[in-house]
Parts: sequence; C-alpha cells; structure tokens
Amino acid sequence: MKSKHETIYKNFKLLGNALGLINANNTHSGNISQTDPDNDDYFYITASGSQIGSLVPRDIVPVKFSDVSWGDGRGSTESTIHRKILSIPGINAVAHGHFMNCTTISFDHKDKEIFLEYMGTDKKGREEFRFSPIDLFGAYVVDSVQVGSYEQPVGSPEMEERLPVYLKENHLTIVRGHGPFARGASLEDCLYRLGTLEHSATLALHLRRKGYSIVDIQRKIQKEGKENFFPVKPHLFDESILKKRDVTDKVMIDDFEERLNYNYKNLIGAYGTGSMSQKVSANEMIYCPMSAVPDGMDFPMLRLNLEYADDDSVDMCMHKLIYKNTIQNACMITTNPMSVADGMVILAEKYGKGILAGEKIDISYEPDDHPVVAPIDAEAIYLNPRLGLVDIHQLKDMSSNNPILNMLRNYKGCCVVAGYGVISTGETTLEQAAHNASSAERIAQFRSDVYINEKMVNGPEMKSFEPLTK
Amino acid sequence: MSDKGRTFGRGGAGAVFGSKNLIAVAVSPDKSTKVSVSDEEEMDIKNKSGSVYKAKVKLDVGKFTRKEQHYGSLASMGSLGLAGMVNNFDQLIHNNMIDTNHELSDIQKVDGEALRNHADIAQDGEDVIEVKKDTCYNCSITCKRKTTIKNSKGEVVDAGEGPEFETVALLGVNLSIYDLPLIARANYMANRYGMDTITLGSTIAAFVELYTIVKDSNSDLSEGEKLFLNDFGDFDKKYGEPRFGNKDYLLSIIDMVGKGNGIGKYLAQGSYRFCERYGHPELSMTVKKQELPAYDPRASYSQALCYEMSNRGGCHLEGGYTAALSYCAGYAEWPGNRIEGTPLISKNATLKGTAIDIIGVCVYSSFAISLDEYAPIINAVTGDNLNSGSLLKFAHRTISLERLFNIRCGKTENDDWLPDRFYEIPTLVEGEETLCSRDVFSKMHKEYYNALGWNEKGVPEDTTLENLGMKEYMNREYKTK
Repeated sequence: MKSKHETIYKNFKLLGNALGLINANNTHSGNISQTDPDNDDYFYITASGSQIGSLVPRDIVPVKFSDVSWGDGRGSTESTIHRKILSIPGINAVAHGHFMNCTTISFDHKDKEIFLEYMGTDKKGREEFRFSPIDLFGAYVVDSVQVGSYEQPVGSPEMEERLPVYLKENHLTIVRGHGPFARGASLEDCLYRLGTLEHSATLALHLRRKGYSIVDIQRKIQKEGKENFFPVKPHLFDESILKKRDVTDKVMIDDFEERLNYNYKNLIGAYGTGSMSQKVSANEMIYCPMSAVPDGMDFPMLRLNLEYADDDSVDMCMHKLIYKNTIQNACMITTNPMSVADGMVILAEKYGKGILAGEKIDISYEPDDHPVVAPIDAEAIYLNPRLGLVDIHQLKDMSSNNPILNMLRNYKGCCVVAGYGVISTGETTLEQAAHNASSAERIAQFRSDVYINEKMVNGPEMKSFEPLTK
Repeated sequence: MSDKGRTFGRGGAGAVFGSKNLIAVAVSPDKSTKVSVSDEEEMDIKNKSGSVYKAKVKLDVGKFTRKEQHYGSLASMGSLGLAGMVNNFDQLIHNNMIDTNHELSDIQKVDGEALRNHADIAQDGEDVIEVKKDTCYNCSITCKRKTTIKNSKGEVVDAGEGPEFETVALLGVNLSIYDLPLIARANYMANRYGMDTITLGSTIAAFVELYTIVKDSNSDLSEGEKLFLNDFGDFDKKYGEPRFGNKDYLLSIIDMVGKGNGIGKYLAQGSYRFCERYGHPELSMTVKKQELPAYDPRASYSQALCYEMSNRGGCHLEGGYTAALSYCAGYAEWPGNRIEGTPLISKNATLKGTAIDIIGVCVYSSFAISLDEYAPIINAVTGDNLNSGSLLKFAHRTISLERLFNIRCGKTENDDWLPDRFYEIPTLVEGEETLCSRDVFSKMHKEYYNALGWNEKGVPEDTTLENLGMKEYMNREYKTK
C-alpha cells in the first residue's frame, strides 16, 4: 500500500479478530469502518472480500467523505452505507456482522411476532419491527433495535437510505435476514453493542423456544420504561478507564486476561459487560468492570476498597457483599445468556409467568424450598448437582440475608440470577469461578437442546435426566 | 475504424479494411424494424424473478457499476477512476514501462478525481476541462465523458470525448506527462485521426526512449541509430525534445503520425516496426507486435501471462483481465506474484474475456455480472438453453481457432513472450523489487497450453479440437519454426 495508517490498522485488526473469535461472520462477510482522526475528509473501511477475522494492512482502504475516490472501488460494497452513517456527528465507527442469533431472531413476520414487535410500515410502505432485549444488560446497553425488512438487503440504495436514519436514533439496527449494524464513538463501542445484542438475542431465542412470549415482556418494558421494570441499573462500558491498571503483578494480570479472553470467545460474557474480581486482602479487591474481553484488547484492573460507596455499581456491590459475608476470594458475573434464559423459565414454571413480566413475587428462599437449576449432563451432576437460582430483585438486597449468599455457599459458588447473569465464585482462584460460569452455560445448553428434542422429535422428557433430590 | 470518440483499434480490422480500400460503413436504421426476443417476460426488467431484473440489481449494487449518487466509480469518474487504484498497487506503467513508480502528487493531477473536479483544481492560467457524463445506448453505468477544454479566458480550445484511463496511461503517465488538458487534446487528435491511443501512446514512448538512448549515447552510433537521427531531422528544434517529462512535442508528433509526415511516417507503422527499423526492437513494449496496455506485467504475473497468450497480441481484454485480481476481487483475490496455479487463473480469464466479447456486452458490466447471469438473458433473447459452461466452450473454440489461424500465419510459441525488460529490469511493487522470471514463465506457458488442451508448443491437440466440435481442423500439419 502506498499509504498506511498504523493505528487504524491495529484497531481494525483487533476488532476483526474479536468478531472472528465469536463466529460473527463467515470467512469474508461483515465490514468495519472508522473515521480518520487526522483528516476529517477520510474514513477507512475494510476492503470488499477481506477476511474480517484475519485482516492484513492492505485490507484497510481510505475513502473520501466529500467525493468519490479510488477507495470506493476497493472498499466494501457497503461503503456508501458506512459513509452516510459516519457523516452523523458524534459517530466515529461502524461495525457490521452476521451474528447468528441476532440474524435468526430477525426472521419474523408481522402476523407472528415471535421475537419482534411489528411497528407498521414507513412512509414508503416498508415494514419495520422492533427488538427489545428483556435482560438487564441488554435493556440498558441495547435499549431497542429497529429491524427493517428490505427488498434488496445487501449493499443497496435502500439500505443506504434507511440505515443512517435508524442509527441516528439508536446504536444498533438489524437488517432482516442479514445481520446487525452498530455505530459508536469507537470500534470498541460498536463491539460492546453488537456483543450485548447477540447475547440478548440468544437469551430471547432460548426463552421463546421454551414457550414464553418475548413480545409481551418487551411491550411491558416499553410501556413501563426500563427504569421501572428492572429493580436495578447495570454499569455501562467506560472506555476512558480501559488502560487503567492498579496492579503490576504479572501473574495476576495474566490470570485475569486468560479468564476474560476465555469468557469472550466461549460466549460466556459479552464484551464490556459483567465483572470479575479477586479479593487480595481483608479489605481490598482487584476489580475489572468487564467479564469478557477479546484477545489483545485492553482491560482495566482497579484496586478497590471493600467498603460500599455511594457510586458503586450493582456488580461492585455484589462483589463486596460476597467478600464481606463468605469465604469466597474470587468472583465473576457474566451474562451467560442461555443460563439466564433457563433460570427465567424455571422461575416462571414454579411461580407463574408474571415473574417474567417484572412482577415482584414472593419467592421462598428457605433451605428446603428454593429455586434451583438442575443439570442433566454427567460431569455437571457429578461436580455440582444443582445451581442456585434467584430472581433479579435480590440484587437490591445488600444484607447478609441475601439468598444469593446461601446459594453460593450451598451450590459450590454458582448462582443464576434470572434476567441478569450468573454469579460465580471461587474460594481460592478466579479459575474456580470461571469453571462455574462456563459449566452453567453448558448445563443450560444441554437442558435446552434435550428439551427441544423432547418437543420436536418426541424425545425423552428433559426433566427425566435431572438428578433426583430428597 | 472510428465512431466519433471510440476507435476500434488493436485488432487489425482497420488495417484489413484499409487494405481493401474500405473507407466507411454507414448504417441507416429502419425504425419500422422490430427486434423480437424469445421470452419477453424474462426480458422484462420489472419482472423481479427474471434474469434481467436480477442483473440490474447486481449493477446497482456493484462498486464500479452503481450510480454516481451511490459513489459508483465508473459513473462518477469514468474509466479514469481506475487510475488511482492501479497506481496505489504499483501497477501503473511509467516511462515506456521501465518502472511503475510515480509520485502520488503527479498521479493526483491526472486521475479520475482530477478529471471530475478539474474546474475546481485547475491552476491559474491553466486550461480547464469541463466534463459532462454520457453513456452508450441504454447503459446505466454512464462511464463516457464528453469534455470541453477552455482556456483562462473561457474560450473553447477543443472538445471531444474522454480521456479514458488507458489514454491517460499511455499518452500521459507512461511519458511522464501529468497535464490533463494536454492529454485530453492529444486524445481528441488521436480520435480525429482514427488512431488507437494505447498503440499510439506506446509507440511514442518507444520513440522517446530511443531518442534518449541515441542522444545520450557516449559510444559510436549503430547504423540503425544513425538512420534514426536522419529520420528525426530537426524535430527537436521545431517541436521540442521528446524526452520523458517533456510535453511540448506531444501534439505535434501525433499530428505527424496521423498525416504520415516526417518521422511520423515510420511511427505510424507501430512501435515494433518503428523500433526494428532502427535496430532497437527491444524498446517496443509489445507482444506479437501489439502494444501492451496500462497494467505492468511485473505487478501481476497472471496478467503478464494473459498478455503473452492473447491471440491478438498484448491485450488485457480478449487475452484476459486479471490485473485487478490482486486488489479488487473480494475473496477471489489472487496475489500478483503468485506462481503456482496462476496459469489456470489466466486461462479462465482468457475464456471469460473471450466469452464477453462473443456476447458483445461491455466489459464493465462484467465487473458486476457473471457469465452465470448473462446466460439466461441470452437464452431469453435467442431461445437457446445455454449456461456459463456453454459460453466458455464457445470461447474455447474461438481462441483455439484464432490460435490455429495465427499458427498458419507463422506464429509460434516463441511469440508468446513479453519484451525482455520485464525479465531483466525489476520494478518496486508494494515495497518489493519484482520482475518476471523466464524459467517460471516457461513452465507457466506449458501449464497454460495444457489447461487448454494444446500441446507443449501451443498447438491445439486433435482430441481438443474434436471435443470442441472442430473436427474439420484435425489432422492438419501446423508448421512451427
């Protein structure tokens, strides 16, 4: 290449790898772009046909905003769409992928409304839908996503016309049958939105397949507002602290990095959501406000006092609560979409589907009467015959009576919080917590798949594989 | 043969017609004639399940073929829109193809963006090019450019069509001339004389290099070089020195070629015969005596092979267009310096290029539409049942027949080679010194022939001719030198 922008290439390479790690695309689909920080008449975009998961420097193409240039001939077929979106003030990056579950949920119909609310047609008679996450992280990070039906849904003038309109209002939009587009202040911001959307879509898929209406819940959230529907607010991704490091211990840094990378690529956590920590003294923990980070990307490690502070996030409060009241020394909170969906189903089966609609229902958390998740796979049954399960309202309880604490004590450090995530702990290491988080997701996957077999192909009853209790 | 701004050169047809004293062919359409098609419904552009509609959608989305308001390269900048990209990947020829190394600031004076915005970027006192878009009949790509040159007083200096990318390459940057109004005027002159600008430009470049060698020589001149100086006469005193980077002489030399005056008489024979006359055939950048176009062979071995194998000589269209495969083919990108497997890529491109010519569609449409998409359209017109495989078979027959014709005219595998400089002088391509290797290309030739069912001398085998339905050409003896 005659011209190269090293920093931009590095950003693209990291984000491209990140998308590749979570199967966001096939070998060559998707595209990403970013404005040039040194020249406001240029942006850079991936070349048409480049491999997002393994970009090389010549895959990064300069394109002019103000007029056509040679880059228009090499850049992605969707360059014109990116150009329009990046022209909106405040937007510096756009990322598009063919995430499996985001795309799957878009295959809906106005007469079906399985995952999407039908919103009517626009002025030109084109159908519009809306997907609203029903989990806490999704509701705040994604909010709601317009899903459009397009006559020509790949690189078309129609997309060029409509996508910038949708993305002016929201960070995300989905092209039906094609995949999501995200815009943000940075490529990391885009990844945060896309990853969270994918987790929310996964959760919605699994909940719906168990027979529970997503759209009813979505309508309730929209009607009441997420601040009223959910009892707490999650922390949001803060790019300004990504490089903050209160730790120099390389062993600890490597440990956190390994856990973060694992969670990311195994879809245990969405980038920028969740948290993890290690208690390092009687009154201190090393805390990362993320539970999942792709290889090579920055993450903060903060040294925090265990005393509660007014501006503590929900996650921070949970970590502190656990360290103050148990012998656990490591903690992880991950989005675990399948586990969370499964937890929601179990609560709805036991206490009525009003619980999914945000109703505060009195749940017994007595030793002999409380909700649990029962694995059906052999290793999980062997290691951890039950996972704890609580409703989301328990996140407000900062007392030593919070049932989450007993769940962690009694179920080897694993508690599913329906609608929120999985809290996993370890008495000694983060690895122990990581094991719980990843097991929880696999447990949920087995339960879900065997349940589908039961319903679709007349397979054995899923519950018949749950271990017996007293 | 000339159609106002478009000259059908480089095939030899003009020479053949001229030798038969055919001056013109005039066509006067009878508007009462209706052309019928086999399947009107399939041909209906509003039929969304029809092949014409689907092809149109592809054109509308393709980066090169979509409309100007969607930043389509060809619609926005004409063919000259290719210049910036070709140069960015070090493929753009320079100084009679000695190298490919231009200053970016020079290219930016003559690329597609420059033509498009010339009124805004022209310097004070410089002639200004006003540009209007135009199109061939019914074409949505609109790559044609009608241009008018005005001087600083706003007076019209000249007007016509173009310049196209190849013209800017061969009548401009290959001579180190980066003056877009001058190149445009040179183009108009060439059009009026009915001369192909690739051939003309390359021939002038050979002339310039020969002049430079002779003039700067410190040793005794050969007989051919003395003859050159004799034919050259006082050209430099009248019209300026023909050196790379000088531009004063350009319009004058074109005029002389067109009229057959002075040294122009010898230049009018093309670069090979011109250079041969003066004992320097190595300065003619030709294959089979046809001048090479704008893409340097060292930057793309597959293109180099296509040039070598083209039956009509150095051609990137009928011979196969692969130059852009290394940077503009999506996930079909083929690196320019790749060797293993390249003959097959070149062969496929030859067949595809020939099929496009047979169909009679514009090459630019094939940037978006494949033979798979053309075939049903052809069927809708003709009532045939063709597919892309059928079209490629037609192409295979065509190039095999052309090959046999060439052989009968005395062409052999020894004619399937680029000029020596591409094997001897490296150029910088994406940071690496690059040149072609004779050993490698010798092997690639054999693989190319074999891929087409030709023997190792490039003669179509009888079994191939039989498979192609060309039995009447079997069992003949084709003499090879």
